[in-house]
Amino acid sequence: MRSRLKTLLWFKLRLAAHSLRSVAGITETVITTLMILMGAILAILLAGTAVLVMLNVLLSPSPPDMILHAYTLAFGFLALFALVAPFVFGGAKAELDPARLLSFPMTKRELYGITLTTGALSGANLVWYPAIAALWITGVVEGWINPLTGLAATLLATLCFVGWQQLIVGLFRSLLRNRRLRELLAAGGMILLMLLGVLPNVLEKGKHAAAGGGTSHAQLHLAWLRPVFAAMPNRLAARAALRFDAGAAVALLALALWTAFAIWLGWRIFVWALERPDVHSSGRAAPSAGRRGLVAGPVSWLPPDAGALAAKQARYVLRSTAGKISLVTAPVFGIFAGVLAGKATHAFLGIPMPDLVFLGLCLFAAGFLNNMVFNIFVWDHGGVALYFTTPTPPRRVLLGLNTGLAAIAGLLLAETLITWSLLRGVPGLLVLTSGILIFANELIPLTIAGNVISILSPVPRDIGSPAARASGASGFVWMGVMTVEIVISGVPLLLWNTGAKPLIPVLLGVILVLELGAYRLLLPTLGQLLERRKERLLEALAGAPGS
Amino acid sequence: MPAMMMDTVDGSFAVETSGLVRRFGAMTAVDGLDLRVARGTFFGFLGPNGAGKSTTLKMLTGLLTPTAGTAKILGHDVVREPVEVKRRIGVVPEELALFDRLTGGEYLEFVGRMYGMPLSTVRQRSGELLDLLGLGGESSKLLVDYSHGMQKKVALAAALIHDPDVLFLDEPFEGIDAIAARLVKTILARLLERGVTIFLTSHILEIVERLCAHVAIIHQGKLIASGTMDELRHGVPSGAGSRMTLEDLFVSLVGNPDESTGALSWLE
Repeated sequence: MRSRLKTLLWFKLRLAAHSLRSVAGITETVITTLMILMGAILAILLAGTAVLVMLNVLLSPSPPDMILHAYTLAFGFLALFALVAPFVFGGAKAELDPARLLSFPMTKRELYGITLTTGALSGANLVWYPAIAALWITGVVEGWINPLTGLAATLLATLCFVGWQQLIVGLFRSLLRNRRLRELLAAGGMILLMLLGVLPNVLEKGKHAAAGGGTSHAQLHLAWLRPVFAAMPNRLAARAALRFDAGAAVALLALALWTAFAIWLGWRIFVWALERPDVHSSGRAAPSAGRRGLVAGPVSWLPPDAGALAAKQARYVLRSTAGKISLVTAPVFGIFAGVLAGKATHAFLGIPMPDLVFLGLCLFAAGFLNNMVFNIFVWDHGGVALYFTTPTPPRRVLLGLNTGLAAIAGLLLAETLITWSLLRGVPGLLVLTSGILIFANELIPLTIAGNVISILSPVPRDIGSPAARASGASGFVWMGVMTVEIVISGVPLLLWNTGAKPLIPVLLGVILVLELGAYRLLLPTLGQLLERRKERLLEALAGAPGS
Repeated sequence: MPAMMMDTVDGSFAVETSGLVRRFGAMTAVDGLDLRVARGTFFGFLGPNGAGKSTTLKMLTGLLTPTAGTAKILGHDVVREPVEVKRRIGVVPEELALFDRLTGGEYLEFVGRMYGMPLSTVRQRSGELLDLLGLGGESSKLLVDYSHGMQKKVALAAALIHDPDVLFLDEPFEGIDAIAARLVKTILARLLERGVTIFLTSHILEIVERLCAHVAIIHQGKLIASGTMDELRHGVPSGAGSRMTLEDLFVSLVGNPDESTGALSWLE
């Protein structure tokens, strides 16, 4: 087993070395190293802080419980650090699926042992080992802890933290192997992050509301958690390290049980992950793909090939994690803008602030699918070859894909408008029409610029990824198009405070017609560009152009 | 040495290349390929890894532009008349490259519409194709959830849905089970009866020998042999050609490794 362990460590080292063969690999390694260094500094600061707290405790006539408290905090922080380190420093993503190693002559138990050991020796863990050792050394030097029980407690705590860390990493890896779960987690994670962003505000409001309430109900309800906290590994480790009595032995035993439980549970998860089907879901219920007509119907006015492409693009957006997130975020922006507009009372250039916020919201809504507009082939991968093996002219390929995205952008705008209307009432006809026209006026130049960027710099992404990130240039181009569009659409708005106010939608409509004309004129040229760049495109999205 | 397979009625071949070249930087993947495949032929296009088979196939199907030379499908130049060529061909690429977030039914509908077919026809044919390939019950499942063999069947269905005159198959038997392989062979035989030209590349030489009436072998970008199996056997100078299988012929033409180098000391 030892030779296999050495081989696996060597293998990981080789993977790390080979990752330095590309600029991207070097960049990633530098960033990871910097993050690990930051983590190391954090860990040392933590240990230092704990020591400072303890010195402070010693210098002042405070009870010994304070030392226990400081050690509990220090162990707790290290436990937390151990749990998140693989996710922060990238060790949670498996370089090699352990299932592949089963083809070698070794048992599952041996494989689990090797996986645990290599995990324990990963770079992310080497960061906090010195910090936990520093806690023990400091305690021994200062005479606060018994060297033997202290050492046993420190070693057991280390093993326990690693055990739980590897259990969580194993669970995370196995869950990631399931496509649908992965997509759900990504979408759920993003939504959770957004909720976390607004949570402090909600809590703050709740606090203010309950300011006159007096007794905290939460405190009463959470009282039962105290014994749970007392039995947590960090508390047990601190207890065992600081006091040399029968209670210390019990604490050590409890800590050993925590560790054994983590290793046993980790083993069960490891076996479960090895034995479950990998990617395919044969035998399970077919995923809901929606009715055919729901997406294909609205684009039936297009030529058959362009209509098929539009329907395909719309389906892809709706089935992607990024698309689902957009469907959730669009109404959130509607709420945000509605609340913002509610507080504003003044006017700008004669336009009441709520109307201006509404128009701005419409302008902004055109950018919800920005990453997909600037990367229209993002999820096509090898499928992109079909665009060149079928008789569909390249300009119609672009027309179809653009139309599909525009349809979803329209859906997101509708969501936003409905949310706004529910919060603030339906806007007046002139404001509503102007807003929709501003949205369309923004979408067309974005689409044209997006086609150029997509053809010149396609970036393949996993459809389950929460971001459909386009190339770096797209951000600058988007800002440029947005700025130009604000100026162009802003000119008719200058009529707001004049008698010619009803002309605003007319002028915006004229701009739209001109943009549509330009789009129609440019499509053949964009099609030619697509045809000229097809080999590069295939290479970037599907792999090598020839073999 | 043009590989003349058989004369055609109207003078045009199903596939015809002349001095076809494709370079990638300094590397020449296909080097002056002259190939003629008559209509209605089951044609096997063979070569070792990296010989230029896939590059040739990609040029014939419009995915790569030739560096020099010409290629025609049914008399239409692949560079000057790409749309007409694409209308007449069906392709099953080696890397299946399907739109895997569509269901089987949606994908076939999508491909059919890309060929400009009426929706009712597409739906009727896709239903028939899925039933024939034993995927009728799976049509509402996303392709990403299909097994490799099922995906291969869908790729074949997509290549057939518009009733092509020439079918290009790159390794169609790789990764599918014996039952699926039998089904694919049956379908191909029926297509051949209908006059469809089948252009096949495969590493499974037994299948090529059994199915293909005509064979061409490419090596390092150049055509080194072509003809019927009998013609290839007669080309072997030793006189032992009459008993040779396609694999023997292939190895003698392309590989011919010195057997002693294959010996392993620890197996002696």
